[in-house]
This record gives sequence, structure tokens and C-alpha cells, in this order.
Amino acid sequence: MKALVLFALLALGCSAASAMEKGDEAPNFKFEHSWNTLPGAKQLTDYRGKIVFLEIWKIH
Amino acid sequence: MPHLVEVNEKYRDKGIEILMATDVDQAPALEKFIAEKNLHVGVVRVPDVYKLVKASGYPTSYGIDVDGKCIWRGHPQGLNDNLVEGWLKDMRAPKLPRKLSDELARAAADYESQKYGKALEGAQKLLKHKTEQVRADAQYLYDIVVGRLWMNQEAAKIHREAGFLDKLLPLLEQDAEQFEDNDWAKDCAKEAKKLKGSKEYKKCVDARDELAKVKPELEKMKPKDARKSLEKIAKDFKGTPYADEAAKLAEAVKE
Repeated sequence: MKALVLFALLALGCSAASAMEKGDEAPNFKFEHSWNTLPGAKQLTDYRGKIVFLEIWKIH
Repeated sequence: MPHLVEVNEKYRDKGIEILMATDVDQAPALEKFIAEKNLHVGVVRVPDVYKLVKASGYPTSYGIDVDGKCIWRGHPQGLNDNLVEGWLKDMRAPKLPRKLSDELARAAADYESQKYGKALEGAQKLLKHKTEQVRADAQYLYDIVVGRLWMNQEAAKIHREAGFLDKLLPLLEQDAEQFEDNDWAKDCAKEAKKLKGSKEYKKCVDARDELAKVKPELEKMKPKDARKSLEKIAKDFKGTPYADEAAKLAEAVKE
């Protein structure tokens, strides 16, 4: 169990080093499906001109 | 998630958009979830979204400015009025993604100071310029502004059809100002003036205010009284979307 936690922490630490930071350009991504989005928006760059609060999430 | 919905309602018309991105591969399950939660925020399915933004665990959230730059990173719970107000204070028109010919300097500057009507006029005049590069740049700027115009028209249409007249008015007033001299701006100004003086508009605003007054008190009230207050709003302001919301809330109290 301990080893597993440690491994998880390490993995987290590694990916955090290259995560999107303040000042970085957000990667553009295409929407495969979308609900309640801006009319006509198919990818993140279609939100240019708006301030976007982006949440990355999973259904629990 | 409730606070995301709240922020979304409050700030959407001011230019803040909530976007929830997930890599859940079951679109029908996602659809069901959105319907069940009555989730009125933008939700998108993006395969490998974690890898794309190099997210370190979840939930993680980001603030992204008008030009697509990251301005904040944190836990979704960090989203509050203070944060959003701060972003709004610094909000400006998006920069043009590339430099245009000198002939278009004026129109580009108009665009960046949110004088879209003037920018459109400036670009339109140069669509038939003798130099190919100028024509291409004019078309490029023209398309960007027309795209904006189209999006604003869609937003106005959505509010108009749903009966959110209180949200429609500021939108129309803003467009009337920013698209000055354009026919769309004239239509907006006309509609805004008519709307402002109308009974329907007043009713919608009153309904919104009344519901906002009652909502925070509901938990403290006895179910019977809560239901009564909500039913009164639903009846007094019938025909407005806020009355519909009150009716739905009253229904939920019964259960």
C-alpha cells in the first residue's frame, strides 16, 4: 500500500512539472461531443474573446 | 458543481464561459448525467484531455484569457466572485492572431478597442483593394468581426426565445454601442429601447429579484411556507422563466 502511494505521488510530481502554467498558451483541443457550449463552437480556440474557466473532470 | 452553475449564470453575459472537459468515453452516460444534474454549463468530451493539458490529477481547473493564455490554475473550489471580478477588470478585446497590412492598421486598432462596427466598415472598404495581400487581410478581419456579430446574435436569440429579457437588454445595449453604425446595431438600439419601456421586461426583472430574495431564505423556512412563497412567485410572474424556475422549486419542496 505504502509503495503504491509513493508511486502515485511520484507520478503526480512528474506530470506536475510540465503541466499548463500561468502564462502558457492553452493547447487547442477539438470537442468530440458538446453540450451547452457556445453556438458553433467546435474547439477551444472558438472561445477566443471569452474568458474561459476550464475544469478537467471525471464522473465519480 | 452547484457553484459553477451559479458563476455561469451570473457572468456568462459578461464574457465568462465555463467549460467542463472530460475524457469519459461513454457519450450516452455523459448525456444522462448532464440531464439528471440539470447541468446548464458547457460540457465537452475530449479524448485524452488530461494528456493534452498535462493535468496533474483531477479535479484541476484553469482560467484562460481572451487570447487563449492560461491566467490561473487551481482547484475548482477556488472559483469565486473575487477571482472572476479580477479577470473581468483586466478583460479586453482579443488581440488579432496575426499582423495585418498597414492599410488595415486603423480597422485593426478599432477591433482591438472593441469598436466592431467601425472595424467592420474599415475592413469592408478594403475588400476590393488593388493589392492581393490587403484584400486577403481585409477579408480575414472582416470574417473575424462577422463571426463575433454572428455569435452575439445567437446569444441574443437564445435569451429572447427563453424569455430572459433581463439578460437580453444589456446584451442589446452592448451590441448597439460596439457595432455602432452597423444595421445590426441600429436594430439592437431599437429593440433595447422598446424592451426597456415594456411591461414584460419589468415583470421579468421583478420576478428575478423576487426569486433571488426568496431563494436564500428557503432552507430556513418550513416546507409549507417555502412552497407557498415559491408558488406565489410562479403565479404572480407567470410567463417569465423565473416563474417556471419557482414552480419547479416548489415542486421539489413537495417531495
